[in-house]
Amino acid sequence: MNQLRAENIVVSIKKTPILHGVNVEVPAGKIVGLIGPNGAGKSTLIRALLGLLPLGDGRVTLDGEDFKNLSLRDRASRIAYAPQGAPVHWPLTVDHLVGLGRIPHLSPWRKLSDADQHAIEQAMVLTDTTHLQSRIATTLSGGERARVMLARALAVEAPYLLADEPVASLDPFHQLQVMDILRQQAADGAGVMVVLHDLSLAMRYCDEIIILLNGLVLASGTPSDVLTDDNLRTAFSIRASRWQDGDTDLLLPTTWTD
Amino acid sequence: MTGLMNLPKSVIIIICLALALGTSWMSLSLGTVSLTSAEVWRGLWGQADPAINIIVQELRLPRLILGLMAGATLAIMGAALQGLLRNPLADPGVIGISASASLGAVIAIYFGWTAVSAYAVPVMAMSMAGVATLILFALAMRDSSALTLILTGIGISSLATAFISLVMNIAPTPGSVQDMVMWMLGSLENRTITDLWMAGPFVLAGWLMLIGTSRGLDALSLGEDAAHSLGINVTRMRWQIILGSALSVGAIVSVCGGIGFVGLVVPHMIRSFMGSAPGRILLPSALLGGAILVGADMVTRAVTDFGSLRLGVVTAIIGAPVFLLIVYRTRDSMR
Repeated sequence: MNQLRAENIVVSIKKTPILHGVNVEVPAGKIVGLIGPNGAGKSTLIRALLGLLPLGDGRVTLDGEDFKNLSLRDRASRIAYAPQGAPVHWPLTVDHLVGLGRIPHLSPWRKLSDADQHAIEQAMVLTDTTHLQSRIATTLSGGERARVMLARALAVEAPYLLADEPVASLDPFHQLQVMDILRQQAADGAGVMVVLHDLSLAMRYCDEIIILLNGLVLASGTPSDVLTDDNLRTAFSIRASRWQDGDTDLLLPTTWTD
Repeated sequence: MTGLMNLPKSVIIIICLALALGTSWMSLSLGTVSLTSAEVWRGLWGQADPAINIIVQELRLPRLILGLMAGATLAIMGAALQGLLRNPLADPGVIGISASASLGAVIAIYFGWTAVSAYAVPVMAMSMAGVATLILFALAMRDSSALTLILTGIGISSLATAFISLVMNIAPTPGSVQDMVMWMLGSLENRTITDLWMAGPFVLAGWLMLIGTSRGLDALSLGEDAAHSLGINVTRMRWQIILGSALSVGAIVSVCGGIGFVGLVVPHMIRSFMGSAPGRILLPSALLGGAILVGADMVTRAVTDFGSLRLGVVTAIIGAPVFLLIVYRTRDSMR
């Protein structure tokens, strides 16, 4: 089956162990939410899945192939990454910035082809950023920039997408819009892993949820299996109020003292 | 707006190329003896008067080529380092190689080796640049951040400057101190084909190392992780650019002395005309850098009232106000 998979991976950063044997799967066509308290190792797991960190043990496989055997360029064209915080170090125009997502597909010295151009336009349409295309990325608002960075990741047109807190700086409308985009990507066949802090968004949008706690997977499975009172208490020291609005399951985190 | 305007890269390249060719031709024509275009042309092929042949082929042409090479190298390496370190303040001096080359030159002057051989200064300068490159690699080789690289460069630079001060401090005569200072202010005066042969291979090697880094530098605008996720081997690119600039800038400083501001300002000038993508500005920066340095060298030749005006003085006096103007014009997008 097509999936991006971490098998029992162990990762240390500067000799501090962060992940202690983690198994996760991002199946094609599914949107997998990665949640957990600050410092649980979520970003480290994402970076390990991208091959950005050396593995102490275990392995990462992409559609069954060991990551180590894949070239940098091959990985790049198959896994897109939207990093947390989305820095832009130079005042680039938005269309140029989104176009950087085509780098894995370009042969040396070649300009953007029509297909590249189409992918860039499509990514901007999906993220509602077409009207920003000649703006300078460093002058955008936080929400605009987050959507532009997502467009940059979508422009890769990779079968897998790893998004690290893509909705962190967005207003409610754009949070929902971004989650809708990610769900659409999954519906179109992509395997999506998204780091979230908003449990209700995770509940509503994710096909599967993984709770990471202290470098270990505490629970994984469907939202209703994972977001149990016990798990929320163990991972976040919170409880949850739950109700239904039509077909939508809703969840509101509350503290134990409330 | 990114800057003053946003012209296509091809237009910028053509304009910069025209500027480089124009200043080059003027540099061959103008001087103590002014030559017509026809005389220059015939002189280039050795078909003019013997005196004109010598002026064009042996005096002005090596100086012109060295000027183009120096300006282009300083500017393209400045642009590459600014992109690599994601820092608009970076210049070729930031990795400490320029100051180290100067230390080599100053040592050669101190011991009077200039009297032994005209090439004592460039050879010593290149040797010290080489030593500094080894130190830089030893200290910052392992997966260090851009900031560590800058700080290591500043450290090496400070150390070299400290030793330069020491050598000047204990210099035997005021005359040798003056020689040292004058050398450090940079010049293309009296440079010959031999200087070209000495610096040329290192400069060429440095340039070749930049091949293929343009796209990686663009991707690096998104940070190292994102660049890596786009298939860029960031570690390899970093050492390509550091080693490339160490080789080429070290060689240029060794034969030309210290020439400030070209490496810092020219990339910013290009950015204000064609946007900030760090990979796209490399080639135009090189062309404009060559043109500007040849132009500045003509100023030093034209202004004869103050003895010999040094090249580094002219580039700094022109460069600093231009830099301030660009910073002022682009202050909104540079945050």
